[in-house]
Amino acid sequence: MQNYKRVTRALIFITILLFQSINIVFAQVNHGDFETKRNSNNSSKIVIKGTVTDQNGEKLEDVDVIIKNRYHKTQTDSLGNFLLILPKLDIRKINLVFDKIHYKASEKTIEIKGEEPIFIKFSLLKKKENVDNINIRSLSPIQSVRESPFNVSVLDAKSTYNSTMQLSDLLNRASGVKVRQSAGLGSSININLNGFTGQNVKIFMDGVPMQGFGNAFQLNNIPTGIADRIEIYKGVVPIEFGTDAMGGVINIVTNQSANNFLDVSYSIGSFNTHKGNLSFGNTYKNGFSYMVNAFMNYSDNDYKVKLSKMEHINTSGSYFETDGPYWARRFHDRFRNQTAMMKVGFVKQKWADRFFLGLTAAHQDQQVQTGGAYMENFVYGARSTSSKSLLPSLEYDKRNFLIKKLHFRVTGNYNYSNNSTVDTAARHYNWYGDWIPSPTKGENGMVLNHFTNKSINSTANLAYQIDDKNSISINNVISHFKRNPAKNDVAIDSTLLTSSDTMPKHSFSNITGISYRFRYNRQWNFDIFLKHYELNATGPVDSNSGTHTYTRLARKKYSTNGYGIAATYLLSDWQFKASFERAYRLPNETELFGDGNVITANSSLQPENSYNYNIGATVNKKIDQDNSLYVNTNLYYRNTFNFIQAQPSATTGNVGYVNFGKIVTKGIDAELRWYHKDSWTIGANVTYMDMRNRERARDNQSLTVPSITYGDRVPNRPYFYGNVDATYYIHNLGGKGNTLSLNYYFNYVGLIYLTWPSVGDPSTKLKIPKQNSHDFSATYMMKNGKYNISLEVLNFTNQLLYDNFSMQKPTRSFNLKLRYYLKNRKQ
Amino acid sequence: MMVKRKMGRKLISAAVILASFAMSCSKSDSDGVSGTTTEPTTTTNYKWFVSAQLGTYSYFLTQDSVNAGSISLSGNGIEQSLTYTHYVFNGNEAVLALKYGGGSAGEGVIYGLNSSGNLAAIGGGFSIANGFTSLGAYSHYILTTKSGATVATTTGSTDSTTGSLFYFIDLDRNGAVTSNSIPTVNMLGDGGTATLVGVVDAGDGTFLTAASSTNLDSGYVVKMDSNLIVKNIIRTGKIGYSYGQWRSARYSMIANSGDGDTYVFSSPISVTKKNPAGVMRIKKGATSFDDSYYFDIEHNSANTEGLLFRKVFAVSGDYFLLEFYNATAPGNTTPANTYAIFNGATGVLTWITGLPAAANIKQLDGGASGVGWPFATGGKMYLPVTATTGDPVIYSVDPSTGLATPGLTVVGADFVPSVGLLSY
Repeated sequence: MQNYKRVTRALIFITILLFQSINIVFAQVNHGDFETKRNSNNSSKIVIKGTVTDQNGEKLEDVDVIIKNRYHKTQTDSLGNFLLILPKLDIRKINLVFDKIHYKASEKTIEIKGEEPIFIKFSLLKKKENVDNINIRSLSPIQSVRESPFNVSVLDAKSTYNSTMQLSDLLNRASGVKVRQSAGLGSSININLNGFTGQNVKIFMDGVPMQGFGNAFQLNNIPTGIADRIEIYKGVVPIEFGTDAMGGVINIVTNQSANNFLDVSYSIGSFNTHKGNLSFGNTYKNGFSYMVNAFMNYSDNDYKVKLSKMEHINTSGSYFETDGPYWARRFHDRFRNQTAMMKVGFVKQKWADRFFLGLTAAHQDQQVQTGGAYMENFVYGARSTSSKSLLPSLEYDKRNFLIKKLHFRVTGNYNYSNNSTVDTAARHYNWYGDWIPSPTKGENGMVLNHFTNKSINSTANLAYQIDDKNSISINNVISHFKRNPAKNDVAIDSTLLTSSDTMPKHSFSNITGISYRFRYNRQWNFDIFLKHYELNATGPVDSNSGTHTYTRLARKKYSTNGYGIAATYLLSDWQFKASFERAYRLPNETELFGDGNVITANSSLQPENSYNYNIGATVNKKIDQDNSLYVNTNLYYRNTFNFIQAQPSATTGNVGYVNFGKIVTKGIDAELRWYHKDSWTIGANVTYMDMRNRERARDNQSLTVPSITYGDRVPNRPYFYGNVDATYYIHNLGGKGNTLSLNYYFNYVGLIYLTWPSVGDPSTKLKIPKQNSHDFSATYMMKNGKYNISLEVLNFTNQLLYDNFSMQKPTRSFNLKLRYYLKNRKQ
Repeated sequence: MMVKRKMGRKLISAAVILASFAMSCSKSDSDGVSGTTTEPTTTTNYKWFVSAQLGTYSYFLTQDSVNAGSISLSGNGIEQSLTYTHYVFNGNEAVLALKYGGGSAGEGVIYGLNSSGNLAAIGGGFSIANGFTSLGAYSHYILTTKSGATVATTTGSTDSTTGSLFYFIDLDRNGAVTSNSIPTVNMLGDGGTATLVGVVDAGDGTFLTAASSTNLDSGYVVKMDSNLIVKNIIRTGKIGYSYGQWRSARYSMIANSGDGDTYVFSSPISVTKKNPAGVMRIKKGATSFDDSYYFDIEHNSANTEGLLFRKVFAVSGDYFLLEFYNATAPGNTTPANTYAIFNGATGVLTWITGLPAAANIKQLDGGASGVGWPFATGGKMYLPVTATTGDPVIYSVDPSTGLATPGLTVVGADFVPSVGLLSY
């Protein structure tokens, strides 16, 4: 029977993939991908074709090929080929400029002889530059994402490879983004993007939603070493992500380098923190390629916290609290995880540009010392959670698929994660780690929680370039999520356990997008898109019979449409952008069906929705030979309705979700970066947003009763924050090819009220004070980055840092990291 | 900010739980602005405590009177980080606010008035680590109960069984907490596991709690001491089980009258029952039900529809406030915002008039009532009511007529869960 089910599931999965394959799907064609126009009349034009390689003969992608003194430009494709079609010229000679980042820009003079096509082979020399230069200069994929019409920020992960950062730490450095972390390494995070949070910000890895990946493989426990870059789409989301998210999408792009390399690093730090990373990969001449990335993190997280009160335990067996302040060291907060990611496949084949099979296996376990929203209130000495994930995946990418100019890409993922929480100790602990026996098992209700999540995601994308100016793409994302509780699930408590706890929940979503891109000319670029969302959610429903039983599963179906437009205008060093999306977020199973315990069901919920507007301008200017400047500013406006928000009951402690509220957000993000030769760089970004309650009524039952918080700033959201970083490089220190870099990073977050600011006695307001944190690191790279030693001092002024009310983050810490990096250019 | 005050003075005699006693004669019947105590040299002043809810946060306010006027949350109220669900007054000394956490921990704070008449925290707060389902006052404790817990078979044993868990919150020691448990498998001798709901002080160092098990057509009351030693278990076949229900929450249906007799109410829902909703009495100090006393409330002449009730509160003398479901044949999530005064001495049921229509009373999540915890003082019952037509209003109810009169309006609150009188 079990096998039969598995086979059925596998068949369904394959059917979905096939269905998607048939479901002609288009995507935006990279502007490097082109072919001769079929009906073009070559007789009146000059055709220049060619191939660009490096000095070793390796074909180079994304090389700018520019006709000097004219506005004609193209790029090489993945096979290093380019093609230029020019109107017939009077002149006999033109100069072609070949330019690619990290390579010496070179010129070649070409003689025009009649109307014959011209074939050119050209090789570019690699610049002799330090690894740092790679870090501080934007890379070409980053540049191309930035130049899209969407409101997008890109963070280069490569510059952080010598640091001990996790992906969440890097993400926190982006403008418009605030990552709020509850404690030390591995602790939970909450991402704010232009004021949106939770379900309204979706996280992807290489275009695959990370939601199903399980706790063992998330941004707070993955080092930046696996990533090439992080893309942050704010407010307006390209169809490729196929998701409902009103706030936006964060996409982690992993390192897809086909180079042959080995990268090993290990770091040790305060609070008994150890991090290790091993990655290597190889691509053979026949295109066979593999990549392995393995990492581990360990920390006791035993930093000191300041407490406003302390619970004291009497030898007589009672306990009582007194007001502080008190200092205590965390004693039950150990975190560890191990992950291995493997990919095997082929590149540059006739049948596929890329074909990879992947497998990621991850495990984490974690002690849990604090519970609930407020750290001080509960302390556990015997609670722990663990999580395992197994994530097989498939990727297929082919340009000129079946016909020319058709680009097909499909990814399929199966995610299995297994999560458990255990707390059966009959003990009561305080912050000193003292305890007394307790009459019942479990420190906060008996917890023996065990469930598995399974999900399938597949994304298919097909793009067709109609001509130089027009392209169309279709994208389809299917995901199926299922949560299976195990027996003995949730709190073992006969007054609370309901049959709901032993029933599965699942959801099936199918999101299709179509987009049309019109490149009027090199300056103007438009993208218009439509999205169709479908969701089928199934969960146990409260039968409301009075016996508090859940005996049947209910199904709820939604379908809705969204749309948007994005445009960009490029003018020499300037770029202007404007975009709009009518965005939706559909309710999830828990919001619809409750959790059978404290969350009550509301199956009449409607999708949340928002009108998102963005305008932005970017300057990327080379001021003189030594200095260049990058400035980016975005203004945004969000008009959000029908929020799905938790409504607590002040007599029963239950929470239910209702559609209610209107919020208007106006915001500005700005980023500035100055580069001076290869000797220093300084950057800063700042975010300010004004997010206000614009709902006049008190609640959804009392539409004539005025809300006292109308016009008030939405509480508990960081609204003014920024950071500054500066790096100074000393080259050839202690030998040629050795570099010492000194980096300073400053982060600021303004005061946040936990509640509506206008309500309550001002002297009693609960708030998260303003934060100033300072980090310093020194990295010594030897032999052009082959050997690296880094020393970091995080929070070196030893501030008490809080992202969340009363949840103190780590005090000052020291880290030492050693890294060995070897790259073979050619086999 | 914080006051370290001895909370226990006159505590045992003055303990008023969920307003189960009328105020003593030491206080004037006017709206508690001031009064004289039995010690003529000391003046005792009074202020009203009002808890207002906005979103998930609570705001503690004080007012000289709740009979009229208004107060706005804008710029007023001591902000509290939690949604407190239960409020218990220790006489006029202090108010204890507690958050129900489902199967998880309950958290609470204790507030009183300092010598300047301002609200101030007493102690650093407390937690009920393994949760609670009902609570009441007993001796110098607030005692919480939770049934269906996994407890040790005997004290210190690692073997576990199903039982009831009690937390003793010591009001003499700024809310110091001790816990204890008792196995409840076959406690009532019927083979089932007993559920214990409600706590009333028996006045002799013991307390009474209502018990129920598989036999839902009998009412059981268990008498225990502070070590949870069972003194006796009494049964009546005239009424059914004695507790109210809202989803997984359980509400007490036992309450003491002004002269210390314990009234045991029963109003079973969603079961095939032998006995109608009704009430029995245990005379103060007695070890059995008073067989001469019984009233059928379901078929009371005033209860023409045969409505069932969910919560019971003592008002003064023999008056009790009953919270009825709005409809017949209710389930455990049926709205219940219909109120009546029951005269325990005469059996007369008087529907309360002057409140907003039941249909206009706001429903909190999942249908929970928008009426807060009542508070009895000066022979009247004060009831905070949140209607969908305006800001929350505190009503005073005259138990002799059942007439509710609107008083203080709390501007800007979503809901007012509690009101009560504190002294300084």
